[in-house]
Amino acid sequence: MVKVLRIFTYMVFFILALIYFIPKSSVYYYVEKELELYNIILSQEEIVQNNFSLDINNAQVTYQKIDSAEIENIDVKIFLVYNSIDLVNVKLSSMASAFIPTKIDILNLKYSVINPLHIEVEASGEFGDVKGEIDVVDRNLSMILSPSELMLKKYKNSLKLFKKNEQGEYEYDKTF
Amino acid sequence: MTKLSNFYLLSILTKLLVLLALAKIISLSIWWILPSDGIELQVENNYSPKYQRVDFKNMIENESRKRVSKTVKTVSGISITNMVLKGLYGLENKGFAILALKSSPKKTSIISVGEKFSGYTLKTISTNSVVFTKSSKEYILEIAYVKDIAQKQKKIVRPIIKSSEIQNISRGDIKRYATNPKKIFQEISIVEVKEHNAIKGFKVTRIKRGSTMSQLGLKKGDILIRANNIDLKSYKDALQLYKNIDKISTMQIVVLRDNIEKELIYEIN
Repeated sequence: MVKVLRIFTYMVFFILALIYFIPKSSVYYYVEKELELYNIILSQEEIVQNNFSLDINNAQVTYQKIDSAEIENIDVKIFLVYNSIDLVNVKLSSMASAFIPTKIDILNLKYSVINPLHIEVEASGEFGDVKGEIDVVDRNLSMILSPSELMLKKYKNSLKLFKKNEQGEYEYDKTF
Repeated sequence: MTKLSNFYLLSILTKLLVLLALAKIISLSIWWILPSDGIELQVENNYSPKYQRVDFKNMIENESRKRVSKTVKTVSGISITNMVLKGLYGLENKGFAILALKSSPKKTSIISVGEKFSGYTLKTISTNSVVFTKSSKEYILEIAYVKDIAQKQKKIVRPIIKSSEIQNISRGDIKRYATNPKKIFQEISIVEVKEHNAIKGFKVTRIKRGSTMSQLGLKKGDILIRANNIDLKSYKDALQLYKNIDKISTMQIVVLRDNIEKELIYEIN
């Protein structure tokens, strides 16, 4: 038992050392290059490399060269066994205002070894609150939206994409 | 006893140092493999000239009138076919011309007014041509680049085969579409058309009957390829037009209908 505990301690130490030394900005540049394949480009951002995390400030997101969103802060934490990405203060392009409220206060993506086949998604903003998960194997996104009053009043057409359940929440399912 | 515990501590420290070194080596390898620069958005500016509505018919008539009057005023004579005018300097009775024979175009000669070249005497110099005399007859020779430019311009001109009449759109309609883009997609459906993996234009797949959009002259199956001189080769180009729609007074849309380009012109009042 002591031996197992010792090996586990060494492993944790090794992972922490690896996270500390790893060139986080280079990993971010690699992710940027991968996103470019899907026509998503993050530009004009400020990259701050911390000891165990990476902060990306004031990023402008373009999709197919169209200004799509401005993100005040992206906080990336990768601990291999527990990983999270927080997007704080996201302002979507005014073009999107016809379909959805443009202000997202926080969008959180979590992945941990406890639930290895799913990525948890949580978001809150002018549209209300969203909880959902992405099934990595089935490539399926399922969400439950608790809409805000603004969403209920002004974005009835967008809500038609959701299915209303018995609790009055709105469900969305999409395979990609 | 002390010796033994020191040995144990040393062993742990050594292991930790080895792990640290290993982590550092792995991170250095990752640093070596991964890119050192990120991606920045490269904006390609569209340098197409601003769209301006020109009455083409009047333009041609005016141009031909101008040409006739110019010809009468300046020169009249027989064209010289065996010579090339490569350059000229001066005006009327002062200056010189750079000439070559068509048989040996690289061998040029500089001839002043009054001098002879190949039996012809240089009489006067105009803006784009010179006049020679021979046996009391006048001969005209135009500068070579004038013809070249005319040919190049012909190539640049985009052939609009069919052109329709100008239609009027109310600014109120435009404002309504600008503030509520949902309305556009309620009335019309558009999908991108690709050729060799690049967007060629946007195809109209549906138009709601009786809607404002249907009154614009667009038809199902039309491919929108250009608007106000902007080639619609990306969503960005299309959105650029949409963003500025409330600032323009004239709109030109070129569609591909049955493989023939058709120009639709709208005046926003």
